Amino acid sequence: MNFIDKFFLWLVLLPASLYRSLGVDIVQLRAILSAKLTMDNRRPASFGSNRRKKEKKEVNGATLKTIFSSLIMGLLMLFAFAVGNGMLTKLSLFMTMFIFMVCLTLITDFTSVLIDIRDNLIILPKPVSDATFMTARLLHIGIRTSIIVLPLSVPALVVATIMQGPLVILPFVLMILLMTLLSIFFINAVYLLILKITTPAKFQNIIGSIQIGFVMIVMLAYQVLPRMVNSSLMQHININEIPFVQVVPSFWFADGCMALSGGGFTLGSAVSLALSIVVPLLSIWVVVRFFAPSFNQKLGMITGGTTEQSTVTTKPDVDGRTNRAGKSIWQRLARWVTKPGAERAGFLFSSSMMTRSRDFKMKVYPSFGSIIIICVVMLFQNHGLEGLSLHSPKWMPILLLILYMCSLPLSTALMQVVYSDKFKASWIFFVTPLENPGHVISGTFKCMLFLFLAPFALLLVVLGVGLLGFSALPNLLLGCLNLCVIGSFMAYLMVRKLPFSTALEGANQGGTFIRTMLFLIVPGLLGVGHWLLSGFQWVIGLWIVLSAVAFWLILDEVKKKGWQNLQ
Amino acid sequence: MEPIIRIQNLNKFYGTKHVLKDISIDIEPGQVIGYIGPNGAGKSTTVKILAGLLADFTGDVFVKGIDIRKDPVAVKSLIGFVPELAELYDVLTPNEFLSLMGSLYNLPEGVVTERAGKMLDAFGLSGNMNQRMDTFSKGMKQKVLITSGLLHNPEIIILDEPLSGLDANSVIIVKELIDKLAKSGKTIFYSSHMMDVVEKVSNRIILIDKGEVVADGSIDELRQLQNKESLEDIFAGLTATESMHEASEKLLNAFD
Repeated sequence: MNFIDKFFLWLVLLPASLYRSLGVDIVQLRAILSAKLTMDNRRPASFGSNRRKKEKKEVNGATLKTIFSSLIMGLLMLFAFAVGNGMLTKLSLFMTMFIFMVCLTLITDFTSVLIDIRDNLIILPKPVSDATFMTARLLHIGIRTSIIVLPLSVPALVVATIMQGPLVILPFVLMILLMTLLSIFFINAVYLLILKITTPAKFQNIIGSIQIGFVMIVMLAYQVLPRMVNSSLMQHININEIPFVQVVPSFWFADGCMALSGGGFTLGSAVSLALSIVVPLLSIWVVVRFFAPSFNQKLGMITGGTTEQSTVTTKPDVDGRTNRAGKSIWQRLARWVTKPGAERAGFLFSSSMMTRSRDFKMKVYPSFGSIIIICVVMLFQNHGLEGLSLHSPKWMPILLLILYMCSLPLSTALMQVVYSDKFKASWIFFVTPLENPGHVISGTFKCMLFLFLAPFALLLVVLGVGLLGFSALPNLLLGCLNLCVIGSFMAYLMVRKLPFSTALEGANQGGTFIRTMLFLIVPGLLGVGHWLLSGFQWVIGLWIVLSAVAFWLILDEVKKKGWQNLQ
Repeated sequence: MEPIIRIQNLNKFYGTKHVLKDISIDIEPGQVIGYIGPNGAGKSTTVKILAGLLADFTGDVFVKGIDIRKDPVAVKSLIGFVPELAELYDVLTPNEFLSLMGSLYNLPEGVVTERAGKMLDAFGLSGNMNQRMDTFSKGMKQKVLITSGLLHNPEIIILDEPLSGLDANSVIIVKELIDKLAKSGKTIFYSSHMMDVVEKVSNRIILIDKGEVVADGSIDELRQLQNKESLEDIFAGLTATESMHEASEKLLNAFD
């Protein structure tokens, strides 16, 4: 355990008598918590060639990175203090975003904490009461949440202090604490609700979809929110003018905070303050007393029920049905674009993994949101579409921009494709007579082109031809080809392991930021160059030929990757 | 006869830990080798080296005369490997997983589909061929793994604890399968803890302890050598530092 965890462990065990009154065994609680925190600090042993790297000093890079990214989010949330009329409005806005963010991180990062299946095997068979188990789980989440909550709220605390004076500090901290408790309750309630309305087997899939949706919303919000600062509506908004605002929890917290920090008590603010303190404490009590037993019971079903179910199910998979009818789309595509053997195997393997693997989808699919965001932002900046008629040449740069933006989801996918929580299953590539791992990688890459690029490119080409006529075709074609070149180049540089063969936790996060910048700049420069030259048909024609050749050559290099080129 | 697997002066270190010490074994075609030893003796390491998963060892390993370090790909295509408690990409269906394996072994698609179908049918899994394996029991996964190791009809089959998770009937099937494979000339390298199975299926038993070969011969030879009847007792006699009774006594005394 590092000093951060030790400190938190000491802190959360302070109210021991309170725990005891809830029926919690303190010794067990401490044992479970310290084991969980120790586990959080350690990365899993990797497979095969990664064994040697294990000797490298263990770093807490992940924790630092989490702190850093929540600090950035905390800074972004200062948006709340830039708009609205009056401190109460600003605080309410901030607290709404805060609750939303905390719920979000809980739901995205702590599914594994909440549904650690190993708990069923290790803790549940021991004489541990449900209350102890649930408290341990909640405190564990609490500690992990603090790592996010602290950097998330500190920038706002500083700004609020500057605007309102030092009196605001204590109430603000108290409210942050209470809001975090309430968020934990929300997440538990959502999870239980999902477990109620669906089978436990589908639970993780549903959580996965929710997570993907949430992440997309956040990406959108962070693009759109700062743009709203300048709108006059946002500048003059006043929270008190919104009807029924008193039922919104974040209003209680803001109102309570204002009242405590010397804003003066009214009947309304006293009620808000009371609610802001009582509701979170009550909700936590509800979680421990009532949610815990049923949660554990359901948790047992998540693991216990699955095998039983599978033997009963005779209904084949969706993919099974297409198989029987003939060949699935992927199999047909594979025949078209890959050579039989390792490349085709890589293509088909990746198509199944990328469309089904939950953690891959979670990491990659939200980045599709970025394309939607660009479309929204474009509309904002062009003040609607009134200036753009059919056949207007202004369409071309917009289409090209969106087209080149498609390289973003592709680069995310390329970065994530080597990771998998089932990385140990990659032994199959090492015991089979696989001569050139490059063939598998090229199969994977081709599959990505079809999954992440083709749908968008096709849509844009159809749209472009519809708007501008066939004269736009060479430019759009060049755009698509350039994307293929960019993609294959990234695949050549980045995919230095077999697909789905590396532990997620062991992922080297260091270069990600620089790489991301690179992947923004290279397509950006190419796109700008393309736009500048888009009027010269013969240049475009020549470029098409060059890009096609480059694509072909780079793809060939990817294929040639041997074992010695892999990490 | 030319040995099909020749291991000479095999040494392997994990860091400073010496896990395999000068192991030399010649294996003839058609032999069923029972490879046994206590926990941590180096069984899995040997298996991993033979399967081509570990390359940083000293000494020589030849399979059918091919140096495993010079041409690992050629060696791998001769070997079928069934790992112990292997992880699987369980969002795939058995059909998809086996065609992936088949492609990696360079088998034509038609052959894979046909063989996989027949083999899974024999294991009673024909109804599950198009279901994702994330709902499979341990035994069902193990059956898929065994199928994947035999799919390309390899000359050498390396089995690492292949019976784990299998029900009694499946154990009988696999035991008989090993017998029949051996009769048809396959060489089988069977690494296991289960003495009774090893005693029955193998015609040569190699016992290793602390990275060294401590016994090598047929079960009869070992019986004569040690003057003991069961393989279990022979195993204990060769590998235990103190008597098992003492150990169990000590275990019980821990409560005092």
